[in-house]
Amino acid sequence: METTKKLIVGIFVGACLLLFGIGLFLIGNNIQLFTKSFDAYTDFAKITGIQNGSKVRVAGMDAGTVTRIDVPARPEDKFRVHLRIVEKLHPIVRQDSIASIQTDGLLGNKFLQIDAGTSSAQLAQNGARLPSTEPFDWGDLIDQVNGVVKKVNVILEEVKAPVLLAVAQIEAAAHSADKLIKHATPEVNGILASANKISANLNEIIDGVQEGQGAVGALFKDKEMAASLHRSVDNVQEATVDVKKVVKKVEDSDIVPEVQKAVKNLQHITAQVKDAVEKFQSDAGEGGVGENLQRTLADAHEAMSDLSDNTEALKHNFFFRGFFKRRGFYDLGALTAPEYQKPSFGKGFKKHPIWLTTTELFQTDAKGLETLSPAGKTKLDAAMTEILQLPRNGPLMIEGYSGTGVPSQQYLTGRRRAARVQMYLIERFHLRPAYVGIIALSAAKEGVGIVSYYK
Amino acid sequence: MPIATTQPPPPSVLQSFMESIAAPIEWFGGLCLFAAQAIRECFQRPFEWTEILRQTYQIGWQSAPLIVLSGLAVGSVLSMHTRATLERFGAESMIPTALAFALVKETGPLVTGLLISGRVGAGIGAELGGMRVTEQIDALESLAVNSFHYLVATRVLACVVALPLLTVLMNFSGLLGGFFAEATISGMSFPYYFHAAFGSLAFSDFIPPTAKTMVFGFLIGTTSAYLGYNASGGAEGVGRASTQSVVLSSIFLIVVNVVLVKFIAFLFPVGGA
Amino acid sequence: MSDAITFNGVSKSFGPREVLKDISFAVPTGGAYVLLGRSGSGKSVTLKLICGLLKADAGAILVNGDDITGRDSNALAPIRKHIGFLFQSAALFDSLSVGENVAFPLRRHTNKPDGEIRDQATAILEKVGLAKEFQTMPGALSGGMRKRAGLARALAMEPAILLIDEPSAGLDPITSNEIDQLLIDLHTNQHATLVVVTHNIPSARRLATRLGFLDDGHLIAEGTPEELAHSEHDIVREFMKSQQAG
Repeated sequence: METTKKLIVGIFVGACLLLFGIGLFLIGNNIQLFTKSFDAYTDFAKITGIQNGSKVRVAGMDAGTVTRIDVPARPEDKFRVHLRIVEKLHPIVRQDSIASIQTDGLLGNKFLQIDAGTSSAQLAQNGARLPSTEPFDWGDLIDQVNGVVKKVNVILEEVKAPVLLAVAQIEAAAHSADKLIKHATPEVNGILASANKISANLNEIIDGVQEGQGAVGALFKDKEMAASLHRSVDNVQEATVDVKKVVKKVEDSDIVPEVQKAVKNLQHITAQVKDAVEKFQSDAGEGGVGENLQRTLADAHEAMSDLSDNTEALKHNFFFRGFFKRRGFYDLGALTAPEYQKPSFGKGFKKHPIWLTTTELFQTDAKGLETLSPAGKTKLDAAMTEILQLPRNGPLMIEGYSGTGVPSQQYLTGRRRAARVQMYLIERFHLRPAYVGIIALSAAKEGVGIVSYYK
Repeated sequence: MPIATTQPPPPSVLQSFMESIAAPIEWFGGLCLFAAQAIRECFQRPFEWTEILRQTYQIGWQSAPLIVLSGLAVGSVLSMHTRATLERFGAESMIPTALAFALVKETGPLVTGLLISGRVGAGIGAELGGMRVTEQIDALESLAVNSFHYLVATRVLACVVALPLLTVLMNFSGLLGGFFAEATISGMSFPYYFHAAFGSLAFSDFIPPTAKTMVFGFLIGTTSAYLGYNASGGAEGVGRASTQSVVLSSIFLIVVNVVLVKFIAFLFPVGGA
Repeated sequence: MSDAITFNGVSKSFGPREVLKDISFAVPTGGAYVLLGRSGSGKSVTLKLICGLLKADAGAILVNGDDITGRDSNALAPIRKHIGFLFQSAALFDSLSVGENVAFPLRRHTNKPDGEIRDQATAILEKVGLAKEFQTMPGALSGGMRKRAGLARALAMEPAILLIDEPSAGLDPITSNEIDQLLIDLHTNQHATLVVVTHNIPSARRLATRLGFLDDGHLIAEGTPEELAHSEHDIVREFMKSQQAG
């Protein structure tokens, strides 16, 4: 055997062993075998695929491996996951660094993520316990939703009683005011209209909620579902941060103050109205009463209008909206002719129109104003007898037509005719005002159309 | 008048069947005894250092170009296939990792084993077969040399030593080939490539699969030496020994690999560092 | 004078074929024994039995008084060191040069330094007329040269017993005579015991102090060349008459 062969074999074996060594070193480096490191541990109820040798990342940087996992001795105990973390990253691993289990990409392995702590917290010592968050779980989320539902229910129960009380007060106030002021000023009429509207709005809201409409209504209705969810998700002991967040959102939302504000306003106004009425009664004989009353009533009118706006806004609130959406309209009084003529209005309802001409309905008095004639009232009674045969679950629209004069004149005349008919019908047939709308439409004809929407 | 003959009765079907299966079993038994003797002789003095070195030179060093070239080719092909698959998931950065896993854990050892069983198995089968039929083995014995110790043990030992070394060489040239292919397509940097390649490997992914090739080496060495050492029938016998060495050592290698992979998985469960 | 080699009722079969049947003979130390016989009569097998390359099925073989039957390779080694074997095909190691072939036994069984071994190998090669071929690989040699190189290797350890299988087969008469002369010199000068298998009767007559004739596995005749020439067996007489056989 020549020396060269020996040399070559030596080189060959040496080179291959060197490569092997390099491979070992690269792997060893990768699992931080040769780097200075410190140990820590953390506890998880579920370890979702973490195993010995799983990667540990500190704030996203590869930082070590899971060295050991202790299996809990009892079901209520947690898995203890021991980690080795490179010393280099020690400065940002604090006592409040939270450990969580993450997935490396869409298909990747599970790894243990350790968040960087806050600088106010102390360094995590060698062998320290790091706090952990449990891996995300759909069951937990459902549990959180369940918590929210319960909270909202409580809030609604709180709100419902004062609202109902306020409505009762308003009705009482309006009733006594109505009795006392037979021929009142336009302000009083306005107050009454507003009060009616407020009470109608609130009634509607409460009806909607009780019928299970709108987001809040749905929550009411879904009590059973929530309860069953609650039963099925039986393993969550503590409300998580997320649950608290969701609940807080509900608490922070405008719903509660809005309702409370409206109710408070209502009670205040009702008190004012009552006050005014009482004062009017007591001061009946004195000279300054008329002026005083006028001002008081004007104030009250304004306040009542604000309140009616508030309750109107409430109807559009996310939490109550569903009911009105399903009903097909929010407020017939605010309806414009183009909105009314859109095909979306009254969608899903059947229509029953009745046409009555001006001459059939109205007589012109001395001042040149149109009022309902006795014959006209008889006609309307007949029309209503027909309409009352139909189901009363949709709006009743009264269309006023006028073809004489300029467009604004036509509008006013049409609206006035419709209003006369509306007032007569509401009074005579005790219709719900919110369901009886008027609309002025221009066409080359004189008269009133009564359209009943029903399902 | 017919002539009475006393011919032996024709062998029964069962008898001929038993004979036909007895031969391979006998052959296999012989191989096992041969392997056992090879193990024994490997540890017996005197150690034939010169011959071991010469065989390591022939089996190891002279196979190196074959291994390096194959490694480069296998690595680049694997890399291209891996890319085609991982690209769909947008996981191109996983290519070095996937390639390293494939190469180091299975492809490297197995391809090395098969290549060496082709090159070296045939060589040993032909060489020993030739020595047997030209009486060189007898000549060795007549010169007071234990031919088994001198010829067989040294070759088996050289195979056992050379296979892991060649596997390491195959792994690295495979990774290098993969790097060339990858760098041409995506311009991936060398440090990133090798860092990512070894990034997810554990010692258990590297050491046991490399060490198992010692078993491959032993299989190749003993099978081909057995066939060569017991060759008969002139040049034709030598050719037969050579061919069978390749065929049988390859088959044994592939079959035993299944057992070894399972065994390694048992010893080092997934994820063990 | 004791016997170098003794066969005592030795039998040997290969499968169903019985090659040797109950053979007994002895070769005295320093004797030159020539085995004759037709092709396939078991002459080469007899030589291999002496060297332990084949195992006898029955009987005992003694070499210098030691029973070698049943010994394994390692146990045979001490005896084999004193035996030189020239194979019919010379059986040179293909992977080693002629010189290294000759030096091989010296390297393995002596602790002499490399230079001395080379000198010794060269000296032996010179004796067989191949001094110039030290570096040549066996594949490049002619048949006669191979035979001589094989003889040189067999002689390297200065064996007490030389086993020669067909020294002149396939060689021209001149080369054949040279080899015979070499063997005669060895026999007379170094007092080596020779066992030669041959078909060449003139060669046999020159070498032998004693002859044996194998036929169909039996040693049917034994004696001096003259005795065999007048053997009771026709085949032996016929064989001895032929000038050139095989």
